[in-house]
Amino acid sequence: MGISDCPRERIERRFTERLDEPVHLAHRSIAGEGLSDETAILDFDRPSGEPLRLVVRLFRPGTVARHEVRPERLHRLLTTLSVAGLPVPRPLWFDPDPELFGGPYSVVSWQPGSAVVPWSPEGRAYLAEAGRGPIGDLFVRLLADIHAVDWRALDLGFLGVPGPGRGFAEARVAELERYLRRVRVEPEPLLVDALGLLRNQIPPSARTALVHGDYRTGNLLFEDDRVTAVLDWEFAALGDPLYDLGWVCCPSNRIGTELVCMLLPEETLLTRYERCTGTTVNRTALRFWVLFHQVRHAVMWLEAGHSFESGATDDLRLARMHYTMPIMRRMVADLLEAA
Amino acid sequence: MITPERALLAIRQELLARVLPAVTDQRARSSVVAAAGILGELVLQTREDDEWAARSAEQLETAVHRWREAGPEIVCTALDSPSGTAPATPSGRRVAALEAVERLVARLWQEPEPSMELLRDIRTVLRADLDEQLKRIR
Repeated sequence: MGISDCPRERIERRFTERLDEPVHLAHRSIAGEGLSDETAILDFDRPSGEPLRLVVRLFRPGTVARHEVRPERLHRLLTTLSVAGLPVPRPLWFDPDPELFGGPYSVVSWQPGSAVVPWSPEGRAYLAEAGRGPIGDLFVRLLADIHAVDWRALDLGFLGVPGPGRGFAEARVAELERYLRRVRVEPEPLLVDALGLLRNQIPPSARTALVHGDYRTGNLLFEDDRVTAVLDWEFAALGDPLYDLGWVCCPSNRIGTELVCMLLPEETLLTRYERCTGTTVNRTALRFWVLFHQVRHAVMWLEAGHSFESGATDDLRLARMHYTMPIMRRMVADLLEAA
Repeated sequence: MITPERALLAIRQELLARVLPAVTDQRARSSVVAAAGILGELVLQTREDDEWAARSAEQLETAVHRWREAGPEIVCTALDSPSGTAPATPSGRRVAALEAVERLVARLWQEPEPSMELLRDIRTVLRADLDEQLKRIR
């Protein structure tokens, strides 16, 4: 069962209880293009006549990097961030009970704006143009704002406070090694080589900050010259801010272009980030995180193929990732050669 | 590995279960039905092409032999197969050679001063295998 085939009456009954007002489901559409969860937009009629639009996210097992995702923690984080002034969807409730949709789900307020698929021809053209305007600045400023969140004051310690110095990077590399061991089907000497290099060059964190974990243009909503929301916080953690910058600059996020996240030249991004944060980006440490994320992305690809092969999912998009695994390996190989 | 049979059947199932119900144009629907039918026939006629694996296995085995001949004991030990049996198929030979290379890489990175010269050589050999993989995808 999913959101799209759940009987209307059952949704109305549950949402009426939760919202504490009678609502009638007028329309539902699947919005999620993501690989992991099912996301739907539900439009309700209310007695006041004012329409209500909600976004429901159904968490599914058996996809990629699920070991890093805790739906309840995500809800708690968004609840905190929505009152801290960051542009995030306003969470309404989280329901761990699979009875309604077949899995735990969360409900957030709908946000205006459009998502962009960065690697589509249209997305690529849009972002290259947008990067030359205010969105090019906003993209960097928002990341700096996330990293500037006073996580102690907001009591975000539930995300897990990393050890000092090299603690965060060491833990991440160890977790990635375990992840690879769990999902690999064939030998992966290139990835093992890269992990060896990472283990050998672990940088200390200059500071501990809230990191988004998947910050990229594909996880933002755009409207005119504004970014209306930062989405997909499921990989958020407390850690080295360079963790986010490394993913932004990762080859996976600039396929076929020199623009990071299809938006900005790398040095422009880094210079603006340094200006916004008043810090200096350690380029050597940044290269570490770029390689880390490229390996992590490759391992996610491996897991996708493994999930399909084992019958855990019939999602063809995951099978497609399996077939394109050589491209992932090539990106890792390129970084190793440049190291 | 996802076998061609598994992939073709999954595509066929997706066309029939997810795509067809969403298509309203009758001409397009008949194309989807025809495509699903063709995929069903291709399942019976498609086999994994492992010719590339034979080329790759040969290159990898040559390199493994060279490293074993020239290398110190830790290299030889890492390259030794735990099972001691040689696979018969090209794909099996390639995987066995890659396993040996992976053991060697992991062992080198355990050294206080890993041999970067050998690691660079290994990367060059792995790049040749990667090029063979890349030739098989669009």
